[in-house]
Amino acid sequence: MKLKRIFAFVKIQLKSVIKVPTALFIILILPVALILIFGFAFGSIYVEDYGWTGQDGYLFEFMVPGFIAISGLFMAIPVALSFSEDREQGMLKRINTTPTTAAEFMVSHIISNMIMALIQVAIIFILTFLMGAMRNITPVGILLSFVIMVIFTLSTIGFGLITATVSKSAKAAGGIVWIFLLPQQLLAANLYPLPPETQIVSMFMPLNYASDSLSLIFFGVDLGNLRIWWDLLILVAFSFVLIIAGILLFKKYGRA
Amino acid sequence: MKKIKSIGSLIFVVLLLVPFIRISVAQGSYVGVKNGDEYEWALSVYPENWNTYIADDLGVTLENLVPLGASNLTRVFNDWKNFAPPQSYWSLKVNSVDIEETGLLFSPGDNTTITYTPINGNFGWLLSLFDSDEWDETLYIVNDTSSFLRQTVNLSSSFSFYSMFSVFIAPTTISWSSLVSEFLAEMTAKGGLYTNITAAAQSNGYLIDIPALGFENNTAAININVKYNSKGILSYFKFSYGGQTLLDFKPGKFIPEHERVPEEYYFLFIGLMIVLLAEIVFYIFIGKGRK
Repeated sequence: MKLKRIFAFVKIQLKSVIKVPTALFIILILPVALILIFGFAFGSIYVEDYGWTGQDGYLFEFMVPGFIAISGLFMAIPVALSFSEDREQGMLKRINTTPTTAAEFMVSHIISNMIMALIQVAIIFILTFLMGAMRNITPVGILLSFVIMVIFTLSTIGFGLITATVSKSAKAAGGIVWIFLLPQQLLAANLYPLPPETQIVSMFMPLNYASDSLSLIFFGVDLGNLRIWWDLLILVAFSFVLIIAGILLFKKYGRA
Repeated sequence: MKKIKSIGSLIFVVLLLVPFIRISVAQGSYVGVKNGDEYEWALSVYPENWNTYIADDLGVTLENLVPLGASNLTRVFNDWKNFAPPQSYWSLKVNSVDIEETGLLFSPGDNTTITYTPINGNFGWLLSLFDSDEWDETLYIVNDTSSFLRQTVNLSSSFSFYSMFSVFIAPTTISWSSLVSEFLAEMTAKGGLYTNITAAAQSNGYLIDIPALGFENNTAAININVKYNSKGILSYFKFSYGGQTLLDFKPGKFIPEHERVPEEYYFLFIGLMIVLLAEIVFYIFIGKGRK
């Protein structure tokens, strides 16, 4: 595996994001729009003793960790689209004729998507900070949130690869990917309290662990709290399972 | 002119430092706590072990024998019997350690002159994040062993758990062996059933034992174990009846439900590890197949 080749691919992929309006919209504009819309809609509703936090504050503040996690989820869309497009345009076959290995190509995709996720999270953090919705988080907490989001992005790349495998075209991938995204968005973002039965379902969704750990960090829970680290551990396990599953499936069925 | 300028600068610097000046009062060497100290305990009541105690109706017996009244102990049972242990968490935050005083602290019951240091703090209990209470409390640290024995009303507080809250803090200079000797001497002086009480000093507390039928209708032995830490803070309390623990009280930190790691996490993690292992095996299998 040659680093030079990987970084060359990373550069190409990052440039392609800027050139493709759909990808740019999904990665940057959609999360920002989400934060702004919900910020203005729920930013003035003051609630007391909110949920498990037992804290008073504006409803939007309690939703922010969920929105940050959801924005990471959106990374599955450009991954699914780009792999499907690469396959449609014969890019993957052409790569096979070059010294570049499939592993190098995959790793470059993972790195470029992680960089985009970091940029995305940084923008959302700045925006929520300016909106006054980050009261209890510490600088170390912010750093840990970035780590959580990077790991969570790995799992979403896995979802993107699985989508690209089962989709026949990029257009189809754009629709199919929502099979993975929508249930997570509705059931695992911790935006509102869920009944115990639904909580069991959400336990099988990586978004649940990203939003749960972010919520704990955002509401000032001590960073040594075991729940945060268990969330992170499960997220790491989910990410590896999904990304390896994605690579295996894509290698076996998705490259034709 | 230069001198005036230097003095002016000095005054300015001193004024800048004024907000950071902390005034501390002289406190007795027997006081182990300081401002800002925080302590948390967990109270566990084991309802399944109370059957014999309730059947023996020991509450009434102790009520007649012990000045502080053992009805207090039954109250603990009634308060927490419907929950699983540990049922509640208790916290104490020391807000200020006041100046030492001398006076009739335990009057009118006891007119002995006592030297003590008042401690102002927040005391409270926590059942869950939404079910808690906190109030201002003044505790008194007495300056010697004899005064501490008086404060516990001859260790009666050990028989009625809620009374222990008034003796949360002992003097750090206490001699547990002297305390036990004085206590046993008092019991001998009282005579009757009191002579059946035995007590022993521990390095950091005391043990009280009453054999079965020692209080006439107690069909089982009563054992009480009390310990204080090096700061003089109550660190352990256990009341046993017939070898069964009725309740214990020891340091413990309350963790709200949402901050606890659910059991399901462990199973899920094991499951994910199995899947991951299967994937790696599958990957190796594919790799070999291609070669």
